[in-house]
Amino acid sequence: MPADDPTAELVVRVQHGEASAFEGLVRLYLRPAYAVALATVGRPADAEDIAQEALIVAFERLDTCRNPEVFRSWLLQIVRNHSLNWLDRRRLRDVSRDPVPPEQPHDGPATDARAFRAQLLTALNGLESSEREIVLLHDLEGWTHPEIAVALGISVVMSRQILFQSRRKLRAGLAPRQDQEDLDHE
Amino acid sequence: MNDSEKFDLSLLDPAADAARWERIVQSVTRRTLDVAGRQRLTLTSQLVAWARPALGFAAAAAVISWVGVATLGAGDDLQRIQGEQAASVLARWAARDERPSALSILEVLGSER
Repeated sequence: MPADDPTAELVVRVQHGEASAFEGLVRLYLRPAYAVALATVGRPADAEDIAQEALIVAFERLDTCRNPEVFRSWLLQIVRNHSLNWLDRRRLRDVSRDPVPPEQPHDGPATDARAFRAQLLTALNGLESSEREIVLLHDLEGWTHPEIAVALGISVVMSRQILFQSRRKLRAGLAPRQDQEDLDHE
Repeated sequence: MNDSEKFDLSLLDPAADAARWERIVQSVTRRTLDVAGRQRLTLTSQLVAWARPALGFAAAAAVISWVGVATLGAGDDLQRIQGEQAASVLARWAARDERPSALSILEVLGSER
Protein backbone atom coordinates (compact mmCIF):
# COMPACT_ATOMS: atom_id res chain seq x y z
CA MET A 1 0.00 0.00 0.00
CA PRO A 2 1.54 3.41 -0.96
CA ALA A 3 2.71 5.64 1.90
CA ASP A 4 0.15 8.35 1.06
CA ASP A 5 -2.75 5.88 0.92
CA PRO A 6 -5.25 6.93 3.62
CA THR A 7 -6.93 3.49 3.74
CA ALA A 8 -5.31 2.12 6.90
CA GLU A 9 -5.85 5.36 8.81
CA LEU A 10 -9.52 5.48 7.77
CA VAL A 11 -10.01 1.85 8.80
CA VAL A 12 -8.51 2.52 12.23
CA ARG A 13 -10.67 5.63 12.70
CA VAL A 14 -13.84 3.67 11.90
CA GLN A 15 -12.74 0.84 14.18
CA HIS A 16 -12.35 3.39 16.98
CA GLY A 17 -15.95 4.49 16.58
CA GLU A 18 -15.69 7.31 14.04
CA ALA A 19 -18.34 5.92 11.70
CA SER A 20 -18.31 9.02 9.49
CA ALA A 21 -14.74 8.17 8.42
CA PHE A 22 -16.25 5.29 6.46
CA GLU A 23 -17.34 7.77 3.79
CA GLY A 24 -13.67 8.05 2.79
CA LEU A 25 -13.51 4.29 2.35
CA VAL A 26 -16.72 4.31 0.32
CA ARG A 27 -15.25 6.96 -1.99
CA LEU A 28 -12.03 4.98 -2.38
CA TYR A 29 -13.47 1.50 -2.76
CA LEU A 30 -17.00 1.57 -4.18
CA ARG A 31 -15.68 1.61 -7.75
CA PRO A 32 -13.10 -1.18 -7.23
CA ALA A 33 -15.83 -3.18 -5.50
CA TYR A 34 -18.03 -2.60 -8.56
CA ALA A 35 -15.19 -3.75 -10.85
CA VAL A 36 -14.69 -6.99 -8.93
CA ALA A 37 -18.44 -7.62 -8.76
CA LEU A 38 -18.76 -6.98 -12.49
CA ALA A 39 -15.90 -9.41 -13.13
CA THR A 40 -17.95 -12.10 -11.39
CA VAL A 41 -21.58 -11.40 -12.31
CA GLY A 42 -21.19 -9.74 -15.72
CA ARG A 43 -24.08 -7.30 -15.35
CA PRO A 44 -23.24 -3.66 -14.54
CA ALA A 45 -26.51 -2.87 -12.74
CA ASP A 46 -26.22 -5.96 -10.55
CA ALA A 47 -22.55 -5.23 -9.91
CA GLU A 48 -23.50 -1.79 -8.59
CA ASP A 49 -26.00 -3.31 -6.16
CA ILE A 50 -23.53 -5.96 -5.01
CA ALA A 51 -20.77 -3.38 -4.51
CA GLN A 52 -23.06 -1.27 -2.31
CA GLU A 53 -24.21 -4.24 -0.24
CA ALA A 54 -20.63 -5.48 0.15
CA LEU A 55 -19.51 -2.08 1.46
CA ILE A 56 -22.30 -2.12 4.05
CA VAL A 57 -21.34 -5.65 5.12
CA ALA A 58 -17.69 -4.62 5.29
CA PHE A 59 -18.65 -1.77 7.60
CA GLU A 60 -20.62 -4.13 9.85
CA ARG A 61 -17.69 -6.56 10.03
CA LEU A 62 -14.85 -4.07 10.14
CA ASP A 63 -13.84 -5.21 13.63
CA THR A 64 -12.84 -8.55 12.11
CA CYS A 65 -10.35 -6.85 9.78
CA ARG A 66 -7.46 -7.17 12.22
CA ASN A 67 -4.83 -5.68 9.94
CA PRO A 68 -5.93 -2.38 8.34
CA GLU A 69 -3.06 -2.72 5.87
CA VAL A 70 -4.85 -5.60 4.16
CA PHE A 71 -8.25 -3.89 4.02
CA ARG A 72 -8.24 -3.95 0.20
CA SER A 73 -7.90 -7.70 -0.19
CA TRP A 74 -10.23 -8.24 2.78
CA LEU A 75 -12.93 -6.07 1.18
CA LEU A 76 -12.52 -7.56 -2.29
CA GLN A 77 -12.96 -11.04 -0.83
CA ILE A 78 -16.27 -9.91 0.69
CA VAL A 79 -17.28 -8.57 -2.74
CA ARG A 80 -16.36 -11.89 -4.41
CA ASN A 81 -18.32 -13.89 -1.85
CA HIS A 82 -21.31 -11.60 -2.26
CA SER A 83 -21.09 -11.89 -6.03
CA LEU A 84 -20.94 -15.69 -5.91
CA ASN A 85 -23.94 -15.80 -3.57
CA TRP A 86 -25.76 -13.51 -5.95
CA LEU A 87 -24.91 -15.81 -8.89
CA ASP A 88 -26.28 -18.78 -6.97
CA ARG A 89 -29.54 -16.91 -6.37
CA ARG A 90 -29.70 -15.85 -10.03
CA ARG A 91 -29.25 -19.43 -11.21
CA LEU A 92 -32.22 -20.43 -9.12
CA ARG A 93 -34.30 -17.49 -10.30
CA ASP A 94 -33.52 -17.12 -13.98
CA VAL A 95 -34.86 -19.30 -16.72
CA SER A 96 -32.42 -17.76 -19.16
CA ARG A 97 -28.81 -17.67 -17.98
CA ASP A 98 -27.58 -15.42 -20.72
CA PRO A 99 -25.50 -12.85 -18.78
CA VAL A 100 -25.79 -10.18 -21.44
CA PRO A 101 -29.01 -8.55 -22.66
CA PRO A 102 -29.79 -8.96 -26.36
CA GLU A 103 -28.11 -6.51 -28.68
CA GLN A 104 -30.14 -3.51 -29.79
CA PRO A 105 -30.58 -2.63 -33.47
CA HIS A 106 -28.35 0.09 -34.95
CA ASP A 107 -30.59 3.14 -35.27
CA GLY A 108 -28.49 6.00 -33.90
CA PRO A 109 -25.43 6.97 -31.85
CA ALA A 110 -27.01 6.18 -28.45
CA THR A 111 -28.14 2.76 -29.59
CA ASP A 112 -24.76 2.21 -31.16
CA ALA A 113 -23.07 2.92 -27.82
CA ARG A 114 -25.45 0.52 -26.09
CA ALA A 115 -24.69 -2.16 -28.67
CA PHE A 116 -20.95 -1.66 -28.26
CA ARG A 117 -21.35 -1.82 -24.49
CA ALA A 118 -23.19 -5.12 -24.86
CA GLN A 119 -20.43 -6.44 -27.12
CA LEU A 120 -17.82 -5.29 -24.66
CA LEU A 121 -19.60 -7.20 -21.90
CA THR A 122 -19.82 -10.29 -24.10
CA ALA A 123 -16.10 -10.05 -24.84
CA LEU A 124 -15.37 -9.58 -21.11
CA ASN A 125 -17.45 -12.63 -20.28
CA GLY A 126 -15.19 -14.62 -22.60
CA LEU A 127 -12.31 -14.07 -20.17
CA GLU A 128 -11.50 -15.95 -16.99
CA SER A 129 -12.80 -14.34 -13.81
CA SER A 130 -9.28 -13.41 -12.64
CA GLU A 131 -8.54 -11.89 -16.05
CA ARG A 132 -11.68 -9.78 -15.85
CA GLU A 133 -10.76 -8.56 -12.38
CA ILE A 134 -7.31 -7.48 -13.48
CA VAL A 135 -8.35 -5.78 -16.69
CA LEU A 136 -11.20 -3.94 -14.93
CA LEU A 137 -9.10 -2.90 -11.93
CA HIS A 138 -6.28 -1.70 -14.19
CA ASP A 139 -7.98 -0.23 -17.24
CA LEU A 140 -11.22 0.97 -15.62
CA GLU A 141 -10.16 1.80 -12.06
CA GLY A 142 -6.61 2.82 -12.80
CA TRP A 143 -4.98 0.60 -10.18
CA THR A 144 -1.28 -0.05 -10.63
CA HIS A 145 0.18 -3.55 -10.95
CA PRO A 146 1.68 -3.44 -7.42
CA GLU A 147 -1.74 -2.46 -6.05
CA ILE A 148 -3.46 -5.26 -7.96
CA ALA A 149 -0.78 -7.75 -6.95
CA VAL A 150 -1.28 -7.01 -3.24
CA ALA A 151 -5.08 -7.02 -3.46
CA LEU A 152 -5.25 -10.27 -5.44
CA GLY A 153 -2.34 -12.04 -3.75
CA ILE A 154 -0.32 -12.52 -6.94
CA SER A 155 3.04 -11.24 -8.18
CA VAL A 156 3.44 -8.00 -10.11
CA VAL A 157 4.84 -9.95 -13.06
CA MET A 158 1.80 -12.22 -13.04
CA SER A 159 -0.50 -9.20 -12.95
CA ARG A 160 1.24 -7.74 -16.02
CA GLN A 161 1.10 -11.02 -17.91
CA ILE A 162 -2.57 -11.58 -17.18
CA LEU A 163 -3.43 -8.01 -18.19
CA PHE A 164 -1.55 -8.39 -21.46
CA GLN A 165 -3.30 -11.62 -22.42
CA SER A 166 -6.69 -10.28 -21.26
CA ARG A 167 -6.40 -7.28 -23.54
CA ARG A 168 -5.45 -9.55 -26.43
CA LYS A 169 -8.52 -11.74 -25.82
CA LEU A 170 -10.77 -8.69 -25.50
CA ARG A 171 -9.56 -7.25 -28.80
CA ALA A 172 -10.02 -10.62 -30.47
CA GLY A 173 -13.55 -10.81 -29.03
CA LEU A 174 -14.41 -7.40 -30.43
CA ALA A 175 -12.73 -7.96 -33.82
CA PRO A 176 -15.88 -9.18 -35.65
CA ARG A 177 -17.57 -5.88 -34.83
CA GLN A 178 -14.54 -3.95 -36.04
CA ASP A 179 -14.60 -5.91 -39.31
CA GLN A 180 -18.33 -5.15 -39.72
CA GLU A 181 -17.72 -1.45 -39.14
CA ASP A 182 -15.00 -1.47 -41.78
CA LEU A 183 -17.46 -3.07 -44.24
CA ASP A 184 -20.16 -0.49 -43.36
CA HIS A 185 -17.77 2.35 -44.23
CA GLU A 186 -16.91 0.90 -47.62
CA MET B 1 -3.61 -0.47 -31.08
CA ASN B 2 -1.48 -3.12 -29.31
CA ASP B 3 -2.00 -5.24 -26.21
CA SER B 4 0.16 -3.07 -23.97
CA GLU B 5 -2.17 -0.09 -24.48
CA LYS B 6 -4.92 0.62 -21.99
CA PHE B 7 -8.27 -0.77 -23.07
CA ASP B 8 -11.08 1.77 -23.22
CA LEU B 9 -13.69 0.52 -20.77
CA SER B 10 -15.31 3.90 -20.16
CA LEU B 11 -18.69 2.56 -21.34
CA LEU B 12 -18.70 0.40 -18.21
CA ASP B 13 -17.71 3.24 -15.88
CA PRO B 14 -20.39 3.51 -13.17
CA ALA B 15 -19.24 7.03 -12.33
CA ALA B 16 -19.64 8.36 -15.88
CA ASP B 17 -22.71 10.20 -14.58
CA ALA B 18 -20.95 11.99 -11.73
CA ALA B 19 -24.12 13.29 -10.06
CA ARG B 20 -25.73 9.86 -10.03
CA TRP B 21 -22.57 8.28 -8.65
CA GLU B 22 -22.35 10.90 -5.89
CA ARG B 23 -25.94 10.04 -4.88
CA ILE B 24 -24.95 6.37 -4.65
CA VAL B 25 -21.89 7.20 -2.51
CA GLN B 26 -24.06 9.33 -0.22
CA SER B 27 -26.66 6.58 0.01
CA VAL B 28 -24.08 3.95 1.02
CA THR B 29 -22.54 6.33 3.55
CA ARG B 30 -25.95 7.11 5.03
CA ARG B 31 -26.76 3.42 5.31
CA THR B 32 -23.49 2.71 7.15
CA LEU B 33 -24.29 5.52 9.58
CA ASP B 34 -27.71 3.92 10.14
CA VAL B 35 -25.98 0.62 10.83
CA ALA B 36 -23.62 2.37 13.27
CA GLY B 37 -26.65 3.90 15.02
CA ARG B 38 -28.30 0.51 15.35
CA GLN B 39 -25.08 -1.00 16.67
CA ARG B 40 -24.86 1.71 19.34
CA LEU B 41 -28.50 1.12 20.23
CA THR B 42 -27.85 -2.58 20.53
CA LEU B 43 -24.89 -1.89 22.80
CA THR B 44 -27.08 0.29 25.04
CA SER B 45 -29.73 -2.41 25.12
CA GLN B 46 -27.08 -4.94 26.04
CA LEU B 47 -25.92 -2.76 28.93
CA VAL B 48 -29.48 -2.33 30.19
CA ALA B 49 -30.09 -6.07 29.92
CA TRP B 50 -26.79 -6.65 31.67
CA ALA B 51 -27.69 -4.39 34.60
CA ARG B 52 -30.23 -6.78 36.13
CA PRO B 53 -28.18 -10.00 36.20
CA ALA B 54 -25.18 -7.98 37.29
CA LEU B 55 -27.26 -6.47 40.08
CA GLY B 56 -28.44 -9.91 41.18
CA PHE B 57 -24.91 -11.22 41.07
CA ALA B 58 -23.59 -8.24 43.03
CA ALA B 59 -26.32 -8.65 45.67
CA ALA B 60 -25.54 -12.37 46.02
CA ALA B 61 -21.81 -11.66 46.23
CA ALA B 62 -22.38 -9.02 48.89
CA VAL B 63 -24.59 -11.36 50.94
CA ILE B 64 -22.05 -14.19 50.72
CA SER B 65 -19.27 -11.82 51.71
CA TRP B 66 -21.32 -10.47 54.64
CA VAL B 67 -22.33 -13.98 55.82
CA GLY B 68 -18.70 -15.07 55.62
CA VAL B 69 -17.50 -12.15 57.69
CA ALA B 70 -20.34 -12.60 60.23
CA THR B 71 -19.96 -16.39 60.71
CA LEU B 72 -16.19 -16.67 60.63
CA GLY B 73 -15.67 -13.56 62.70
CA ALA B 74 -12.92 -12.64 60.30
CA GLY B 75 -13.66 -8.91 60.34
CA ASP B 76 -14.31 -6.23 62.86
CA ASP B 77 -17.74 -4.78 63.66
CA LEU B 78 -17.39 -1.88 61.22
CA GLN B 79 -16.62 -4.27 58.35
CA ARG B 80 -19.64 -6.42 59.23
CA ILE B 81 -21.99 -3.44 59.37
CA GLN B 82 -20.73 -2.11 55.99
CA GLY B 83 -21.23 -5.51 54.39
CA GLU B 84 -24.71 -5.74 55.80
CA GLN B 85 -25.59 -2.30 54.45
CA ALA B 86 -24.27 -3.07 50.95
CA ALA B 87 -26.14 -6.37 50.80
CA SER B 88 -29.28 -4.63 52.01
CA VAL B 89 -29.06 -1.83 49.40
CA LEU B 90 -28.40 -4.24 46.55
CA ALA B 91 -31.18 -6.60 47.65
CA ARG B 92 -33.61 -3.65 47.82
CA TRP B 93 -32.68 -2.53 44.30
CA ALA B 94 -33.15 -6.06 43.00
CA ALA B 95 -36.51 -6.45 44.77
CA ARG B 96 -37.83 -3.15 43.40
CA ASP B 97 -36.68 -3.97 39.88
CA GLU B 98 -34.53 -0.86 39.85
CA ARG B 99 -31.78 -0.47 37.27
CA PRO B 100 -28.89 1.29 38.91
CA SER B 101 -25.88 2.25 36.83
CA ALA B 102 -22.78 0.09 36.94
CA LEU B 103 -21.07 2.95 38.77
CA SER B 104 -23.74 2.93 41.52
CA ILE B 105 -23.32 -0.83 41.98
CA LEU B 106 -19.55 -0.45 42.22
CA GLU B 107 -19.93 2.41 44.74
CA VAL B 108 -22.14 0.30 46.98
CA LEU B 109 -19.82 -2.66 46.74
CA GLY B 110 -16.89 -0.33 47.41
CA SER B 111 -18.51 0.78 50.68
CA GLU B 112 -18.26 -2.83 51.81
CA ARG B 113 -14.44 -2.68 51.77
